Amino acid sequence: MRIFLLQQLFLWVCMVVVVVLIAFLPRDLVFVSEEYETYGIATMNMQLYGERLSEYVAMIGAGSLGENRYGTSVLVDLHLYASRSLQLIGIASIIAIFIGTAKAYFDTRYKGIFARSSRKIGQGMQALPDFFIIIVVQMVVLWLFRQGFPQFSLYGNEDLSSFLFAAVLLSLFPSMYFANIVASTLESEEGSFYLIAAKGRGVKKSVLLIKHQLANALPSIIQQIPIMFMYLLSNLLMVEFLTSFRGAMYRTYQAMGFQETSLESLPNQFYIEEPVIVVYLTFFISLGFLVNIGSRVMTEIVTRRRLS
Amino acid sequence: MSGPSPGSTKQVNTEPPMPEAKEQKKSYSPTKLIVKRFFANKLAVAGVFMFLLVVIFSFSAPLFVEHDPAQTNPLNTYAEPSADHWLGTNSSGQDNFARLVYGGQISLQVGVFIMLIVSVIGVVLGSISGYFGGWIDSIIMRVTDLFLIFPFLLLVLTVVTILQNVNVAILVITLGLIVWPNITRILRGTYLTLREREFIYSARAAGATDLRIIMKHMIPNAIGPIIVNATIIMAQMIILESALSFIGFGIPAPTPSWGAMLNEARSLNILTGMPWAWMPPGIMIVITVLSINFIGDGLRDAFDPKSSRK
Repeated sequence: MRIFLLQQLFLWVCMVVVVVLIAFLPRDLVFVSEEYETYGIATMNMQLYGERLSEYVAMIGAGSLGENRYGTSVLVDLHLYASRSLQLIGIASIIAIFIGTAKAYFDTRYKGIFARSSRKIGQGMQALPDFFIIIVVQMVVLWLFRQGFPQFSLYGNEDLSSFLFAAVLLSLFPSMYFANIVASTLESEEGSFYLIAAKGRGVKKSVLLIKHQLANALPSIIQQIPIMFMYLLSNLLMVEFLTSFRGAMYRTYQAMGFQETSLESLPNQFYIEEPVIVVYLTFFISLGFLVNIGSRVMTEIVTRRRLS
Repeated sequence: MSGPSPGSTKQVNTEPPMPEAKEQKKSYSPTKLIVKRFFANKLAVAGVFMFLLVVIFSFSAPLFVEHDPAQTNPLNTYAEPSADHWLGTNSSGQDNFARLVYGGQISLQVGVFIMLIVSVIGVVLGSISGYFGGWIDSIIMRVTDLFLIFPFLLLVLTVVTILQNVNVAILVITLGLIVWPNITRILRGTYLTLREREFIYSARAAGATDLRIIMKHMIPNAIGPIIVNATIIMAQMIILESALSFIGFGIPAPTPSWGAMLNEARSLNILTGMPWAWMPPGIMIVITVLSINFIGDGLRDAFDPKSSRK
């Protein structure tokens, strides 16, 4: 475990260094105007690169992580947006694990046409673009509103309904992934001697599935949580983007030069906030590492408990 | 395929399929057996058929598309479908049908070229890492760890942001340089098994050079995982390109792209009142990706019949 933690720490440090090196790549912008548009051409400048990196390192040495474009500390910025995203991620993870496990139980417990269709839908959904599914879900909900369905807020991050709607959208793909993993793991247990013996004793299939198969497959399932988490982080950008949820991913996207409206007097794409990008990417990387470590610790605990 | 029985990997067993009783009588070669198994898979054949339709639809555009996909017309924005504009026009007055057809060319080109780049990098690094092992393997694996742990979309976005002015070539090269770790890992796993096989020892004893062993024995026996993973990567890259274009970080306007067309659906009026503007590109992405996935599943089952899901 100690070696694993050291490896994770080493990888984390490497990742953060890579992020800084990428974010501060020299972009000596030259603006070119052609007919109706003005665009910037970035050229590499190694001297500028060195200067920017040394300035950033000196700033960190002085105890600051930098400021955003409005002159606010990046940490204050992070606290505001990341806390929203963390709540969203937390709720979506719970929904994904709950729905994923329930769907896997249904797929494994029953062999009829509904269970087979449910499994096919789960596998097929993973091949579809997440943003297209989210758009279709939004369209269906808006159509339901027009048919007299009780209305609730879909966009933004201030209402509970929009918050839950974003969490449900975020959990769609991870829950399908988790269901597939749990179902496969449960199936891999089938044919084991303990199951044959339990079936021989007349134990109900539902009891067998939950009390024996699921319990025995738990270490393998927990090991898959970091991958599910990666799905969740990847989908987070699309969900925050499409539901106008002002979270950490949206803020990162904004810091990268996202131009929300063409009415802005100056294009946002030239205002890339490097310190914001570095801090937010470090935040997401750290989340990934924490989930990785948590999954490893949980696997060890569950395995030890089973052996004892 | 040359060489005796190869080993197995996590994803695809590279072992040539064991001929069944009837097939043994006809004595098919391993390649013919794979082709036969592939075409016996109805979904895979449907996938090939769907994919060919998408390719023909996209690349025969000049034959049946009258409008220039980049041509704007401020006097004819948000037009409804008509005989002149089959899918109406977008917010810039560009013909949606022309953009749909030409957008397919971009998606397919991006998918194919990234697949080629990733396969080449993956095969080279996977071969070096899996065959030689030791410190070079450790270095390559730590670098792949770095890439695999990073939230993929964020990494792509960061690089694209830094590069500015992205065109198709830059996007393809960027994505190719970011996506290689998966295939490298899988190939390394295959090679670790293969290099301990008797036929590799025999080749070494016969004086074959490392390069010859890799080219003549390792790669042909790892061709299954390479092809299957290449199809998976192609499908993923088509989705990724459309996702990047959708959020405005992909191929810039006026180049048509399915993802950019879907971006119109961010407007509530278009989302609810003009489905013809955003549904077709979404459906085209789904059809293309599903067809490639069906082909990939068919290839996986053809190379390794034991892997088929019931």
